[in-house]
Amino acid sequence: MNNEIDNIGDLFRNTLKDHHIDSDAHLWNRLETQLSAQPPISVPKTSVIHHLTWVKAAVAASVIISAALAFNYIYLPFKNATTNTHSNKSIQTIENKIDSPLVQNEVQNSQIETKQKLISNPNKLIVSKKDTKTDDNSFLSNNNSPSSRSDNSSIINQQHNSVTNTSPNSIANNSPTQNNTAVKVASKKDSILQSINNNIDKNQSETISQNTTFHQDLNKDNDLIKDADIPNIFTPNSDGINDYFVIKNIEKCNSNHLVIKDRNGRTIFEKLNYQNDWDGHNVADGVYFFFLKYNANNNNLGKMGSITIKRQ
Amino acid sequence: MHKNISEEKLIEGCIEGNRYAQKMLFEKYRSLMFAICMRYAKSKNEAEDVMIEGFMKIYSSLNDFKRKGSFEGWLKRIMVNAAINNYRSNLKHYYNSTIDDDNFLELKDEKDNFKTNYSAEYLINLIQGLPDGYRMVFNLYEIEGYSHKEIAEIMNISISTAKTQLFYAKKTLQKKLTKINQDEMY
Repeated sequence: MNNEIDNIGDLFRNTLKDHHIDSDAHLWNRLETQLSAQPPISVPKTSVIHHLTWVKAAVAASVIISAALAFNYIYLPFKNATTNTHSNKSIQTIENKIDSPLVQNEVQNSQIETKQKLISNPNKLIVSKKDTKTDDNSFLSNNNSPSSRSDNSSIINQQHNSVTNTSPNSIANNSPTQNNTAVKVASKKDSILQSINNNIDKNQSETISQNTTFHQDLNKDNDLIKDADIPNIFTPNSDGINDYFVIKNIEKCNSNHLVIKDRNGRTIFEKLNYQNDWDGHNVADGVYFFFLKYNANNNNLGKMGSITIKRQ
Repeated sequence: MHKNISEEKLIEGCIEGNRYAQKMLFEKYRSLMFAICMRYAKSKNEAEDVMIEGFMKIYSSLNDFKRKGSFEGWLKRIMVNAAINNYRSNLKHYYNSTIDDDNFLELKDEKDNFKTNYSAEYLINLIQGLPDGYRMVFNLYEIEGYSHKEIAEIMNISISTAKTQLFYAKKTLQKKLTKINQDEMY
C-alpha cells in the first residue's frame, strides 16, 4: 500500500514535470491590455545606444505623422468636405511604410492616439470655417456638389456632440460603486474595463443614435438608473428567482443599448432596447462585464460593471 | 520571422518594453507556463488569471534576472509564485478538508493501461478535483520539490499539517486512481 502511495508522487511528477498545455488565443489580448495600461518602462542605462536609435526612429515617425496630419487637417478641407474614412486611409498608407519592429511599438501608440483624436474631432477645421459667416456662402458654392451641403450639417451635429465628450467610445465616469460581496471582483477589474472596451470596440459604432456621446458628472439624483439598480449576480436556474439580468427602471428609459462581454473582451450578448430578458443561456457560469448606454430625461448616460452568472 | 533571435536579445527587448519582444516571449513559453497554472488552479478560468498575473510579474522582474542559471527555471519559479499568491488571496473562498471526499469529476473515456499509463490531461483533472489545500501541498512537494518546512512557510501552516495534508492528498489521488481502474474492469 505504501509503495503505491510513494509511487503516486513519481507518477504525477514524471508525467507533468515538463508538460505543455495550449491556452486560449485571446490570452495575449488580455495580457497586452494590461501591459498597455502601464506607464512606459524607463530604459536602463546599459542600453543607452538602443535608446538613442529608438528615439531617432520615433522622432522620424512623429515627423511623418505630423506631416500626414497637416495634410489632412489643412490641405484636404480646402479641397472637399472630408469624411472620416478619407483621413483614416492616409494614415493607413503611412502605417504600411513604417514596419521596422524596433519602431513598431512607439509608432503604434502614437497612431492609436492619432486615430482617437481624429475620431473625436473629425472636422474641427470645417466647423471653424463655418463660423465665419461672411465667407460661408462662397465657400459652399465653390464645392458644387449638393451632397456636401447635407454632409456639413451632419458634421456640425457631430462636432456639437463631441464638444461635450472626450471620445465616442468612452463611457461616462459613472462607474458603479458595488456595495456588496462582489466588490472584490469588480474593483479588481474596473481599472481595465475601460481599456477592454476601447481596445476591442475601436471600429464599432455602438451608439443609441448616430454618434451618441455622453455627459460627464451628471447630478446623481437625476439619474434614472441608480448604481444599486443593477445587480452583480443573477442565477438562471429556472427557480423563478433572479433568472434574468434585470436592470431596474430600464423600461423608463427612452432607449438603451446593452453589451455583455466575457473576460477576454468578446461580446457574447448585445441588444438595443434591452428589456430585462437576458438569461445567459448561451454562456457558462462565470464573471462577465456589462456596458449599458441609456437615454433618460434626454441625457445620454452609461454604466458598466461586472455581472456574475451562477447557476449553482 | 525572427526564429533565431537569441534569448539575450529577447530579454533585452522585453526590458525595453518592446511589445513585439514581449509577445515573442509569451508565445515561446505560454504552453509550459499554462501547464503549471492548470495544476495549481481549480479551473481553466482561474488558470488563465494566474497566467496573466504571472507574465505581468515576469515582464516587470526581467531586469532582476541575473543571467545565471536556467531562464526557464526562473520563469517557472515566478509562475509558481503567482499561483501561490493566487491561492493566498482566494483563501477564504477555498475548501480545505482533512476528510477524504468522494467528489469525482466527469472524466473522459480513456483506454488506459491498467495502473501504469495515465494521460496528462487525466492527471490534471484529478489534481483539480482535490481540495485546494491538498492540491497546493501536493504540487509544491511532489512536482516543484519544496521541502515540508518550505511548504509550511509558504502556506502559513505547521510542518506537521503540511505533512498530513500531503499524505491525505496522495491518499485521495490513489483512491481515485484505483476506483477508476476498478470501474474500467467491469
